[in-house]
Amino acid sequence: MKKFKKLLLVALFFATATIFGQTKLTGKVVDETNQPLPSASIVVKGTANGTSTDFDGNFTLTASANSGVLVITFVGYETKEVSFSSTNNNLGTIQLTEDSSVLDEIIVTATSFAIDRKTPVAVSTIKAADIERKLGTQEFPEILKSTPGVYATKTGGGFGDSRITLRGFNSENVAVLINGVPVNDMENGRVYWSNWAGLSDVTAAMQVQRGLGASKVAVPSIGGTINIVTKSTDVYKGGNISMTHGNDGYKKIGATLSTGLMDNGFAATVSLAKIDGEGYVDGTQFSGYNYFVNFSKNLNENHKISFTTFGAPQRHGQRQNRSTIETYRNAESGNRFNPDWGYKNGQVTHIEDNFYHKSQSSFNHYWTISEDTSLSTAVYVSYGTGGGGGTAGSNRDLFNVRLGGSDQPVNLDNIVSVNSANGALGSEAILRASRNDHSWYGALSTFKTKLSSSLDLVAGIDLRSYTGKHFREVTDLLGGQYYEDNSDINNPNAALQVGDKFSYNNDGEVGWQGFFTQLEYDKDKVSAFVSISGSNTSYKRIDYFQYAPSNNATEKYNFFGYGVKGGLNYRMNDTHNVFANIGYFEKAANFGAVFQSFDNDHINADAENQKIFSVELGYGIRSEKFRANVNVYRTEWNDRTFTRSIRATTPGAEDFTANLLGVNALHQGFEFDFTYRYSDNLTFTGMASLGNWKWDNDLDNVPIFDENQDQVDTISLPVKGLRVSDAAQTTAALGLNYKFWDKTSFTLDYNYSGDMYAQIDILNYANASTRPTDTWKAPSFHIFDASLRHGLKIGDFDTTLTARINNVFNTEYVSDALNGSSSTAADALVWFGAGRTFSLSAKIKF
Amino acid sequence: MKKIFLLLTVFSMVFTSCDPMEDIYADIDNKETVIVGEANITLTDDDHNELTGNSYGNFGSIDEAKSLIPGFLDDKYPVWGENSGVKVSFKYYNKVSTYSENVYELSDDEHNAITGKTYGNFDSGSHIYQFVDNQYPTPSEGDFVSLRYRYYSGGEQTLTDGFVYIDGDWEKVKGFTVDEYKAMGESYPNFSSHDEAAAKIPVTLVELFKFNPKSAGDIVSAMYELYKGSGVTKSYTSNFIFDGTSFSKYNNVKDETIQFGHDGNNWVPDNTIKYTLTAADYTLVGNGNYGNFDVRTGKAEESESVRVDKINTILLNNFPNDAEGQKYIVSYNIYNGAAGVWQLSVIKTGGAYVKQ
Repeated sequence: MKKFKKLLLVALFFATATIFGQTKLTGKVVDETNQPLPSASIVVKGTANGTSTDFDGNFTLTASANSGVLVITFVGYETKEVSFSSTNNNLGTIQLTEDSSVLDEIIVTATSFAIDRKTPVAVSTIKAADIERKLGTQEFPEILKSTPGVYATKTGGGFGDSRITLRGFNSENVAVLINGVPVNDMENGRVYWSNWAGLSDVTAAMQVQRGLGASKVAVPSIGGTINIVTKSTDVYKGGNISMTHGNDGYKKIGATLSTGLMDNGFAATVSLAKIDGEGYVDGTQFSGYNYFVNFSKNLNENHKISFTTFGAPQRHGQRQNRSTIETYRNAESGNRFNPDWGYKNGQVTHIEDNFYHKSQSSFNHYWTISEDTSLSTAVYVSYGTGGGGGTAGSNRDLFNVRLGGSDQPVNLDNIVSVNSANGALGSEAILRASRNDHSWYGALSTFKTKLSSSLDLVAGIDLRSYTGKHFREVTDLLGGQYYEDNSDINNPNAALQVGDKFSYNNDGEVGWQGFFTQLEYDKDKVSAFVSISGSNTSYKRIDYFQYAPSNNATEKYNFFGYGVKGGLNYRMNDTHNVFANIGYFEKAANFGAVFQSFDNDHINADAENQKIFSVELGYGIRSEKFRANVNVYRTEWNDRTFTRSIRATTPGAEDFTANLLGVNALHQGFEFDFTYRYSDNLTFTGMASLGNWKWDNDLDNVPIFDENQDQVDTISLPVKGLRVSDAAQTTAALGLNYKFWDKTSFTLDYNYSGDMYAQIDILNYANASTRPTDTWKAPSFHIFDASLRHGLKIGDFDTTLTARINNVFNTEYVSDALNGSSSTAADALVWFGAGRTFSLSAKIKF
Repeated sequence: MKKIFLLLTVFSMVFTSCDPMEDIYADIDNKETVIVGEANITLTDDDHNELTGNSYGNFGSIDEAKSLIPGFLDDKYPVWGENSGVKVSFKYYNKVSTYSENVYELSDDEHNAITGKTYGNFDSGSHIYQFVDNQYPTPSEGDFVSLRYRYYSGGEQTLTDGFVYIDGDWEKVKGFTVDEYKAMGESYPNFSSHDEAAAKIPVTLVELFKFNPKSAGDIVSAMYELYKGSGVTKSYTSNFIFDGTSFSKYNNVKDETIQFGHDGNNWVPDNTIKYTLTAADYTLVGNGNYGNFDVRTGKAEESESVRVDKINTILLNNFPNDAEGQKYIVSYNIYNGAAGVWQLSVIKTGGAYVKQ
């Protein structure tokens, strides 16, 4: 509290020191709840003369003409035009209306952004200003934790190692789109957030569409879609530099430079940042860079092209392994304990680490063909290189030798001395990396035309070609002369050096040909859509280690998925609206379900589609002071991929893979969120999300037949009624935002998470002797975050100071748990959420 | 503003007292943390004296050692608990009797009476025992004689050995031959003093047992002669203890090492061996790939009985000669979502290791 008071004093000091500059045009841009809109664009119509609002929504602009029109735009809001004259130069408060036109309409279409009171899906949108205010040292997905249906954690606590579930579905079943381009891994569907660690700096808006969502492309959105739209062209010239310091040596410096939209129609924005720190968790030091470059050019009224490239190369120590609660309790460093690091030659050495650089570059062409017709095309390429570190060797027990008790760092010097004493016998324990490089080329084209005044047709194609390269490489021989490996039949008994590949080396080639078409109706009180999408996925595997070069590739195996969905939104009046949506889609099996045995011989060419049916009802209210949404959903996830390798018992029959149907989950729930503007200074927000997510049926002695139709096995899976694990089924949030005075505001966010059941793969219960009970239910927890923002001028420059504290009360809580055999707290393996963390940042605009 | 602070105060009061981990932590904190230690110690003379209350610097017997050492370990390792183990080396009084008697030299007739021949010597190892049996028909426990006799084996040799009557049998105590005395620098087949005997015999014993090696701790008896004058030679037996490389005179105090284990309450004599599975062990039972047991739900080693079976296979393979009742605490790597080390206590029962 003392610290907090000090902060207040500092804030007071700066407030009194604020100097106001003199300019011709002044005004303030706010949203419908009178909250200021920072970074809104202000341009004198017909010129390139513009500026943007500061963090309080204020702007000043010198116009060259005596009168004219200002065009005010902001992502997610309707563009507004305001006239000015030399006598009317204080434009006062300008209120923008949310959503009807998010970005350019053409971009809205291309990115599948949902529009309030129009798109009939459950949606929460986080704007750039909220990200800036609330992110602090949190991971990007954690920004969404105050929205319904979301459970986000830092997992082991390494930089970027976060995860998010939507309505109880993990990232394999949550589509993530960046500027409309899907980024889920092409082989396993997962999303690696550390790839996108820098994205928060350049995000214009982040939208969570729960359930079926508004995306037109065929994506695995059983839980929902996270739609991230980056900033693109800044209309004004300028930039900013920012600095953040935080707990455990967190340090970030960044700068953004924009040319603004120049007279020749060209604009460029470059954003760079460097970030490093020690990490809250022991042995999770990190360093990384973020870059974002955008070039845009308006070729003429009808053609705009844009090139964007961004990425966030980083390396960070990980806490890969969870421990029991007792282990943390008894560890010297408590909940920060990490078993996966040590000291070598006096230096911190990460045994488990992650290093990756995924660049995402796209070339976009926006073509307004006529007043009624447009075509948006993105051609993109993404390269990923990197992997995760770990251990290898014939004597990995050496990694259990620690510098003291079992809660201390690993003694790697001991391994070095053992390995070097081995001399010509080589290393018996080494560090390795499991690499997962990839190259991904894609094209996504969306055509939109008006069929009539109220009916639009959207259609497009989605083509992708992906190659993933998977191999292990030696990264540190730990004092030995070489590492012996005999897994490459083309190079048997190899004595390996650092950088050499071992254990496995294969490629996965994934092809994707998708199409989508959607009819959109919008007239008077009704907007509705119906959409169909389909995609063919092909998988091919090339194995450089287990096969000779002449026969190391499999054929291509094709799988077809499709989806159909529709929805309707009815605006009863300006205040109330109701919506409903319904959809069914079939999702093709992933790469791993086809090549289960990590070889080219045991191929499951008949992998079954997963089937998803979802229906949802919602209601919205929009009044001057109170805005709220309520919705209920029912999602059936049927025929979850369940395969078993079956050894043939009859002579002559071949081993085969059984594809079992009927592993079904039912996710139902209720979601509510609101914003209540109590006064101009005080706003409350809140949400409640009640999930009821269970496995829906048992498999009971399902007979397995071989190719001769002889029954060779039976399989049971007694899981009916089991709770879906690994995500809090109940969450709630309350927030308040209080403006002390014009440029100083304070927020307090409260989050509740409950009913989180420790993670288990229910397929492990196959042929279990007894019917399992629910896994361990982790204790529910309450977390408070607070932030304080203060704006001032340093010289002529708008400066924003943001102080943020996460987990104010340093609450100890289990964020992630893996179920133990007793399904109790005693043997669950857990990660704790971070304790109290803080950050202080300054952003100076010029 | 007031409202904000009021709200903050309410929030703080409600939620700082709300610790999600409270109950779980209480359970953990109530559990006593068991310190498991291992040590090898050797008791000093003072240790022995303090425990026995006398000044001999040894225990009166192994049983006395077993009854007194647990108390000593309690004092020395007050915080060690279950599964701790200490190998204690100590001394105990273990008298091996010595004997002395004048040498009796057998006449030709006495030889011939046994052999039924006329050579005046023996030519079979059993002859001298037949002589002793005949000469001393009603021996008492501890009777000792020293006999000088001739033995033919390719050539005639004069031997002087002692015979002690122990547990109903005459046991030979080897004396030295003329050649052996010569090798020890004696021109006559005897020593001049007991001290000389004590100094020279250990050197000869190493030679004598070169091809019949003794183990550390073995005690051997030897007989030597001193000339008493007037044609009388007297034999003395003396005992020597082997330490693995050399012999020294045995002073009736023996070293012993016994392992004590902590059973949770007390230190008890315990043969438990602590063993950690090796890479080869995992390979032997088909777990060589990861070098651990997968104990996750539905995985191969989830059930403890499977692990016991595999550990049984490994121990039988590695230690086929273990006696019944041999106990092991086996440490093995597991994967239960994270890498860990678990332990199992087994005992050899009916030729197989079963869970203890």
